[in-house]
Amino acid sequence: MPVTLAFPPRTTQNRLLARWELSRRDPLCFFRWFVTTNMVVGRENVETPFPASRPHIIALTRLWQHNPLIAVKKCRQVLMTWWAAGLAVWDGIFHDGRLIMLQGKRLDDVIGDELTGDGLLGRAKYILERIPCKSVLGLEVDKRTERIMFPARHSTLWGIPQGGDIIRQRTASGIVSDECAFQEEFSEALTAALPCIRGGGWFLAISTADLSDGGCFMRLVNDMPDEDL
Amino acid sequence: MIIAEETVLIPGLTAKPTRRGFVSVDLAPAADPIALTPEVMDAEKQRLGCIRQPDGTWRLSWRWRKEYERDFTAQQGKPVFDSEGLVLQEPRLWNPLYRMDLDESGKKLVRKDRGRLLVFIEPSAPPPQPLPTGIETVTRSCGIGMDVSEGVGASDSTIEVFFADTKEQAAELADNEIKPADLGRFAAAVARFYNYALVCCVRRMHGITTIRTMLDECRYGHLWHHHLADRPNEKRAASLGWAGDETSELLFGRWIDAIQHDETQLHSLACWQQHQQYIYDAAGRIVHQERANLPRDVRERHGDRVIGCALAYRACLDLPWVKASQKRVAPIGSLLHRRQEAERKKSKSEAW
Repeated sequence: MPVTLAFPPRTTQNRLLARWELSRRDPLCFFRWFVTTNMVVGRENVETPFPASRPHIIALTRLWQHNPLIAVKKCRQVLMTWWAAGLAVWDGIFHDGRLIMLQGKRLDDVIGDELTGDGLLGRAKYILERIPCKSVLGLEVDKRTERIMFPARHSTLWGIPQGGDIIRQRTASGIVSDECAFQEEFSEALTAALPCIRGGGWFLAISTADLSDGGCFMRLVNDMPDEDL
Repeated sequence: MIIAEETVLIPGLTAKPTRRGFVSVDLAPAADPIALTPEVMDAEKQRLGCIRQPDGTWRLSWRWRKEYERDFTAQQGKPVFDSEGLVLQEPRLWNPLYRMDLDESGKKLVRKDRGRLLVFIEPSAPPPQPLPTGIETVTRSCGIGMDVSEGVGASDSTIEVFFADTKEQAAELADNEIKPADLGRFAAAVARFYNYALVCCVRRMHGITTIRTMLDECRYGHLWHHHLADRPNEKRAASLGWAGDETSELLFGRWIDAIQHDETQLHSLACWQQHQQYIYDAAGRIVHQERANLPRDVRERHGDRVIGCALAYRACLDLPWVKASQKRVAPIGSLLHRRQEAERKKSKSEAW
């Protein structure tokens, strides 16, 4: 990390703190100033700022702020996993006592890789690693293999595999289920998550089209009755 | 913004409330025109198998419709086996060399005009690739796949024999009246005939009867075991035979790949024709097209040649290419003899 970022001068520090305060109030500001992604350009992975100004990112973030239960039927390559990881990090950093579960088909898929920004938890770690001057911002991060903890906030991001067992035993404040149509046990996870959701939590299900889950996600997004398919 | 009715947020991004209390969002490529430019989209279409027509329009593939048009049932009715892969197999179809059946003792195969086993390649056939220097003959490994039916005239019980080195079809049996225990006796004779082949039989339903007959009555123990691959060290499971779903991706995926990439050779016309009859159903499951509309449990009782081939291929993957090799006996004083002697001395001197 450059010395200027580790020990910023007073003006930089003030600007940073102002941005941090704005980010606390608005996740789009957090995306704009503090989220970095890893894009593949040719054969190289390039660190780039998150494209927060793209219209679909703005619209979806506003939608998420006002609707706790969202199911996104998406096409490929629209940055949804980065967006979901960014939202989970934002919620964990700026709010007290959050338990946010990041769910994928397998635990390895969720954990991914921090160095290349792969998997939901790997992306969250990647974003956190690149937030500058954490000591100035008062951001404490404790990164473990399957979890990221924010001790000052008593918040945790927890990577879990598919299924309803882990969700059923805990009361999550937020759940992100990535590529849930490919999770055979998505139906169980959704059923187990419903009590948490009614208690004030949020649930974000994101997937491309598939029927590996027995059509549960298709029924959810297309508003079909359970008997269909 | 709270969504109370279907709303177009931006072009390509719509949101609507659902009865379950969720907000359903449909995110199309048009929502991100910066990243998904027309050039990027055209390149993606090509990668996903879409074909550009002479008039400039695209004939869209089911993969494109699934990945980018969010069509959950895009693959419904699509053939499982790539038609290009099957076309490659067509010139290899030929009539059987001869037919075989069990003799009076019920333990040995003999040639019969109306025998049930169609032999396309004999077990003693030499491998197509040249043998290493000094090796005169080899005994090729074979894998056998078996699908078992009730034997009441409904679906076929099948035995498919493949060579492990070339993954080439060597023999085939399909009979809808052979009982599971009789099939076990027949399979043991075929396996012995084909160089003590490794037999991979379905385990579910009547398969267990066939397996027990082979083991207990015929004393044939070279049967495929399921491996517990989810442990740190792979372990042999106690269960014999293929215990999973016959049309699961775990079994069928490799066979589809083998057909697509021309890694196998089919010789039976009926078998080749059956490969064209497999399609994906609405849920993306592999089904025989005649049974696409039947309940799932009825479909699973359907036994045929394609499942037999997939099981035989599975067995072949777990086999060495040859079982035994016999070195050529060189005349004393010949160049080969001198080379063999030198090799023997060298290996002796290097030993501890």
